[in-house]
Amino acid sequence: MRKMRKMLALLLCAGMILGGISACGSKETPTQAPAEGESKTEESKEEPAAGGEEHENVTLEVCIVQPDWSDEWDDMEKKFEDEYPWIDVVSVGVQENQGEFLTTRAAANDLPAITQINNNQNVWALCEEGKILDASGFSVAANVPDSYKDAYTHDGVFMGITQGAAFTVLFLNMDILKQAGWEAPPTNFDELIKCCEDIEANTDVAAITVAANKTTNCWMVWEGILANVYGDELGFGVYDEQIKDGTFDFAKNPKATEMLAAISSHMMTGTSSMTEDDVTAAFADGAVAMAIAGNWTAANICDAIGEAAGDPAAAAAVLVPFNEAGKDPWISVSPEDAFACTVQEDPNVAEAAKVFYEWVFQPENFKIIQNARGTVPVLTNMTDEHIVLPDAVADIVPAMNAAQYVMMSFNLLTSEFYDSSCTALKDVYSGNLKAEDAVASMAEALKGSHLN
Amino acid sequence: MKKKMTFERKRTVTGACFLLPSAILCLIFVIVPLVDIFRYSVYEWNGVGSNMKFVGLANFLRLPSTEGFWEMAKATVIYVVGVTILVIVIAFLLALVLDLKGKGRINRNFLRAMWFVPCLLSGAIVGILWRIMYNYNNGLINTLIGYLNLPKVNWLETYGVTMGAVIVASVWCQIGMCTIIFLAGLQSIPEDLLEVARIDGASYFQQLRKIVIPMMASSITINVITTTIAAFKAYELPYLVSNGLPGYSTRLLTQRIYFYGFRSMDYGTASALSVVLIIIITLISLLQLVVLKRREDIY
Repeated sequence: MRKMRKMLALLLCAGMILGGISACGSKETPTQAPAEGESKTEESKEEPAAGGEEHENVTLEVCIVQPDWSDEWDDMEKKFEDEYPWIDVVSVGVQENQGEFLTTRAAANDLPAITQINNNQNVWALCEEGKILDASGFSVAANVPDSYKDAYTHDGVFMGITQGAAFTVLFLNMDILKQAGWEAPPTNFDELIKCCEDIEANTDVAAITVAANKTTNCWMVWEGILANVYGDELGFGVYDEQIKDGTFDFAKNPKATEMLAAISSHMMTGTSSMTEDDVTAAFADGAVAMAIAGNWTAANICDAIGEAAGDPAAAAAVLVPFNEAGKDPWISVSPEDAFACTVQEDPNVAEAAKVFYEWVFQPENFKIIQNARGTVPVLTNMTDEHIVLPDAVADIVPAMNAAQYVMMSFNLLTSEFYDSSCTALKDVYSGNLKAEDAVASMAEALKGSHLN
Repeated sequence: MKKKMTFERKRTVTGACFLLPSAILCLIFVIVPLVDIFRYSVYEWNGVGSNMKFVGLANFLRLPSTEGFWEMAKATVIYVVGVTILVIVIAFLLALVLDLKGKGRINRNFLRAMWFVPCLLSGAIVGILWRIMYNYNNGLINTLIGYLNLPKVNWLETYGVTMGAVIVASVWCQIGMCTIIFLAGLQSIPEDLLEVARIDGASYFQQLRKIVIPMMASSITINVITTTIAAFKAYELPYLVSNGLPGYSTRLLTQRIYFYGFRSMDYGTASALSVVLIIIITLISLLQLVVLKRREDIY
């Protein structure tokens, strides 16, 4: 009996070990849909797909970044699975740390079949290693303007189709501005600062904030200032080139530093650690009057302002007025995250990924998530009937299209650079560091951080 | 003729068989990665490609001159010392209170369970919860402070204060486990011994100093070493509370390892920093072990 017990215990231990080891082994992509599709799989391993062909059931992993469209993503996913019952889409939300997520998965040789990517050095490394599929082979790539294709082309590979155009916006709760004596949004930097002072003097809410916890947002304030101070002097495209080459001098014109100091002195307490959700909550609580944010947060922020003011019309958006009086504002723009297909060994998964990719970028499908996010679409075959932007953002799209712009540059630099520069900027926003010290440290950091 | 195994040999074989599963797991998940870390630390590698360039000790030599390295090293030391001292002291006092005999209004086992609950939560959840509570504008802590008509505290943006906030969150999370170990130590002290001391006229503090603390030396050793190692290894909780701000004042070296490995795609530097941290943790743990063991031997 004792021997039996020992043997049983040993067998169980061996089972545990084998289980552990097999779980760490190379990934076998499941060819049958699990969970919800369980009955589906039991009924038939091969189902007629759209087009009458027969396919093995495939589970397709898709990584998405944005949490603010998850409900609509689920709707879109369901629509796809109804049309293609042999493909079970498993979505993974990775938020803004997708770079780290992909690096980790790549190290384990287990990249998701479709993933959102940012245009940064992590993704470039994957591209250089031949892990990203060239999207120019997809028919939907024909609907992407060349400028956006160029932006997402690395090493001759078109890495993916962007979900929209990103640019910087000043969101305003006009209800609070009116209490401060402002009937219309400020139109230049001096007015912006005066507006902040009036809000602080006449109301008990904070003047302005930014979701500085997110690298893009933290950097976009400074870049907006740079674009307006240097844009006219340097001309189109020069700023981007100098940043890439590491020859741009942040400290050359002290006016940029003064503007950074001026706007930072009106930032809401807590700004340096605020996430985009925190900014939305601050608007919903009526605790802040203005925020510099990406257009991609328009839907949430406009809803929050409408909720706080009790009137959706109180939400307004303008291009960030960092310009001098009498001049038009320069803005910083970039393609948003793109959808990329990764190279897959399993031909069934590769085929399913291709089907999904071609399907998603059909206007009637893409509009489901596009409109939820409220960003400006770039697909040329999307018409007005497909696009429903929040009113506040729709109003400024013509101005955005007409504005002079620089490319959002932090992705063009090393992660060491934007980590150290955003650390310095956050200290300026929180009043812990003088703007001139931060600018000096960024100028020094840039010298060793360019990627060209 | 079949040769019979001796009893000793049987015991050894059986013992080895039972050890084998954990030894294999340990080899796969601890030893092999550990060896890999040492290997990667002398290469320049982005973690995904096949190109690895041997660079010798270059990754180690560049560490001191990297942005914010010394601030992060200082933050790590402050964090480790702060967390270890507070956890040990508070857990010990808590164990003494929870071990008090006599009828209380609340069941003692219930209280013990309550103090242990934070240990069951993931560091990520605890980090996010504390971050929300520390929010300057609508966090719970500043709301309570507001009720007392005191000025709000900028918990997450003030040099010095933020490190305190991070330490408090970590202490709250770790205290339960140490308390349980201290409680076990307290309950192993023979009641007769304390009774004799009481009959001899020893006060509560004399009993504590002369009997309780010396007899709990091994519990103290275990708690000090495990808490120190856990504090050196801490990553997600401090990161989620403060995101390393303000400046680099709450950014720990573990966060830098993650940064180099997964943001910068510089596995070589990340591995070099990991090796440094491994050596520091090992040396400090050995030192603690020697000092505390000597103390245990005295008693």
